[in-house]
Amino acid sequence: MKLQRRVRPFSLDIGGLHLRSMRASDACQSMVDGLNHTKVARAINFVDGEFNIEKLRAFISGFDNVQRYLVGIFPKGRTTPVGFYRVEIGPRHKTAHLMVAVTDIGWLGKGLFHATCDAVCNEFFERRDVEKITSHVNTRNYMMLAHMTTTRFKLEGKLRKEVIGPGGERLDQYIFSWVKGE
Amino acid sequence: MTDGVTQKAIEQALQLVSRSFGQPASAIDPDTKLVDLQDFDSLAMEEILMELESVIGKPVEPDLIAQMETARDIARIIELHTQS
Repeated sequence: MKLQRRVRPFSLDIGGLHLRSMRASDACQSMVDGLNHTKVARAINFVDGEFNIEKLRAFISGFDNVQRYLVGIFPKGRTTPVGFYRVEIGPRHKTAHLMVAVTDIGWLGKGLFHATCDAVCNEFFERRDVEKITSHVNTRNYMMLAHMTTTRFKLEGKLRKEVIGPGGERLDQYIFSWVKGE
Repeated sequence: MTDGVTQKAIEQALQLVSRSFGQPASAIDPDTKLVDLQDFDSLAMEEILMELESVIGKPVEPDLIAQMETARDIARIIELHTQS
């Protein structure tokens, strides 16, 4: 018997923020501008760095809310996101890979990740059958590294020349992980 | 020298923190936690780390970042990595 894939959109309130699965209709110019901003593009390794509304819609549509989630971070009362989590689940091993991006430059440095990380990870641990979450951070993404050192993620190691940076050069990354129950 | 950290390294660390926060070095206590400084946010922390990288001449690794609570901690890192 073929198992039905269970679509489960993400929805969570954390203080003054509402986090929910993004829809193609959420694509907006402010998010496009954020993703094209040098600082954001460099931090999250979107190499082409040339988003437009259409590309953004297609990007958002690629997430199925089964194994691939794009969770927008919306301040309550606002219809445009200020950032997002991208979470990809490997069901065989109950693992997930997480990345976060702040796409509203005015919210950079304001602790969005710090305020939401535990709750987002716990949602995947408790309700989405994930037992280990990993996150890769470029070795010179100091803002994210500073955040990571204050979370329950632990440094596992360094991946040499793992990704291609915006200038075409290969970049090292650190890999952090959080195992359920630790 | 105090706590294995020279006055020179402490002054260097205070200058570095001062530049990142836009506050005079004389107004910063080397033992005050960075998170307790006015206007602390992760952008300021990022600036500190970029400045520290240029002082020690190599990327700052996560285990060092985890040790950086005060300017004195930064001074200790400078001291360790710039000794000839």
